[in-house]
Amino acid sequence: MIGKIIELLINGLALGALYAIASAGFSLIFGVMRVLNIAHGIFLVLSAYLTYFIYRCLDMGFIEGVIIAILSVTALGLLTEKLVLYPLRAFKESLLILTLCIGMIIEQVIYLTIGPVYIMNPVLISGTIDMYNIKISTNRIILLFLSIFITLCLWAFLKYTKMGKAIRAIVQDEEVAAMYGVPVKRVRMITMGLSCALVSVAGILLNSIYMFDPSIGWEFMGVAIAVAIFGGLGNVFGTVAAGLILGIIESFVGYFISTNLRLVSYFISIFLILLIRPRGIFGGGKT
Amino acid sequence: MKILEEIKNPFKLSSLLLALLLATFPFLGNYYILDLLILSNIYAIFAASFDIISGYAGQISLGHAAYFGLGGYFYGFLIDWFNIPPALSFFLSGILVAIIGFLVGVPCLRLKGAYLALGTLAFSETVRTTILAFPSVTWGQEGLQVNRMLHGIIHNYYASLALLLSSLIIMHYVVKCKLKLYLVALRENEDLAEAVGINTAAYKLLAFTISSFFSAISGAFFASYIGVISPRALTISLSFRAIVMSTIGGIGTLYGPIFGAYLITFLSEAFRPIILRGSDIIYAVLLIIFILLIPKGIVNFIQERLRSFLKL
Repeated sequence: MIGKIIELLINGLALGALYAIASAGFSLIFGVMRVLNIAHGIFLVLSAYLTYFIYRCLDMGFIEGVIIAILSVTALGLLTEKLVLYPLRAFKESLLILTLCIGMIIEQVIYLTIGPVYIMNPVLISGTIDMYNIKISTNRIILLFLSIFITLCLWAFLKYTKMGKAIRAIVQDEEVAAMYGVPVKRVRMITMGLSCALVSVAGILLNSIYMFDPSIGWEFMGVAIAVAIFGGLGNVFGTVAAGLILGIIESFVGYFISTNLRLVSYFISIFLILLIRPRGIFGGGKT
Repeated sequence: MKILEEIKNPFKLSSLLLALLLATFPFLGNYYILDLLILSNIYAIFAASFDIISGYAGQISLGHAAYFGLGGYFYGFLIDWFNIPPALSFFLSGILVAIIGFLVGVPCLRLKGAYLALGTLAFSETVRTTILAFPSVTWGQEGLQVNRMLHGIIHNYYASLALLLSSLIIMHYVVKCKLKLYLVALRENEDLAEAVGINTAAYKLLAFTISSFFSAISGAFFASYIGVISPRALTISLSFRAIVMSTIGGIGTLYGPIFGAYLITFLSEAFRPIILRGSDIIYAVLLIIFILLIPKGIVNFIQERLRSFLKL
């Protein structure tokens, strides 16, 4: 039993770390731009589909596929910021619907080009580790370490670099930051690029755990929402912690009750969090 | 007298006339058009109910399809499990979903703007995956077979028209006469509304409940007409449709969404030969164009033009 619990814990951590990476960008965009990017979940799916398309249909290497996918999703995100989010920033609430439109268009383009196929990217290294009766797939361990590495990089970037400080300054107060000479427009671009790169990495990695179909992006959007609200919108460190917690909850609910109820467990946790601490468990969420 | 004043308004008169015109359609005997009209009527109720939350109370809901789908499922369950006659379970499903809407509304009261949109989206995805999680009860992706309330397309047509008109009158009475000022105050500036003593929480909750009742009714009618309700009725695609219909028609007018529903239903049918599956792409492009160019929607646009034309 203890072995099973440790197994579930590690699996949940690996999943949660991926959710954390995926949701950190969503939270960061909200913090810097005060916009909910509802297309975020679709970016996640798009990167997985692009990798699949390049790897399987164009017969190029997996690594090339990953690199091209990350670059093109990031470029798409930057384009969205350049053409939609920045010029139309005065629209506020309609902007949310505009990002929904962008998400819809991308989803339908995937449908129309690649088709409603289920995809699964190859696992990085197959096999399982069997130790003291604990069985864990090597893939999950690698995913766990990779995502911990990425999270640490993100943390170091936000904490110590000048650009990271600028991002945090804008999250706190855009006007004051601008007054102190923070180049808001450039920081916004970098935030968008960063969050799209993060989400596309998360998408490709998640695709080796879950099968994707084009519309699953909305489900992951639900997950990202839960994680972001749990951790407090705009609070990246809270988001990472919330991702880990929810990943563990998902893995336990999935084992003891049903895998299909994972979103329900999320919704219940959002429900509770909103009733108790509307700005996230760690506070610091923006309204 | 009040009713007379209402009818005096040329726009409302024209909408009544339009309704009468629609009533004469069955005599054309074109079942294809009739089918589309029934669907349009159903979507019109759905879009109008969305308009109560978004247009009047100003709360963006990204998960309105949840109430639509739940209405359909409850309708089926009530008939199957408790042998309640279809017409009764039709209304009961509306009431049950209204209760759910109320319960969802309670935590959502704490949410403003962005958080509310997120909460509703998460709620609808949750309902959808829950339904998929119990295939032994809900038949999963396949969809639940539902007993029909009415047989024959003409009966369904008249019923849908009657339902549309009656729910429109009720919504109009509740929203435009009783609640309008409170809800509009809520939309324009929530903090200020609170400051002048409007119980924003209670009115938001009321808007949520009324809106979920009518979307559930439209969902139940949809299930009864089609004969099956599947999780596809709960996808974000349908919630998106509600947004598209009411924005194109004119948000906050109650009549606009109906116009939008007709327009979108017929448009997507017109585009069917060109793009089989991706009609959402057309909606998305249309919505972007409307948000950027005619954010008030067609109905307001035409009304303004007419007014300035008449004054000249």
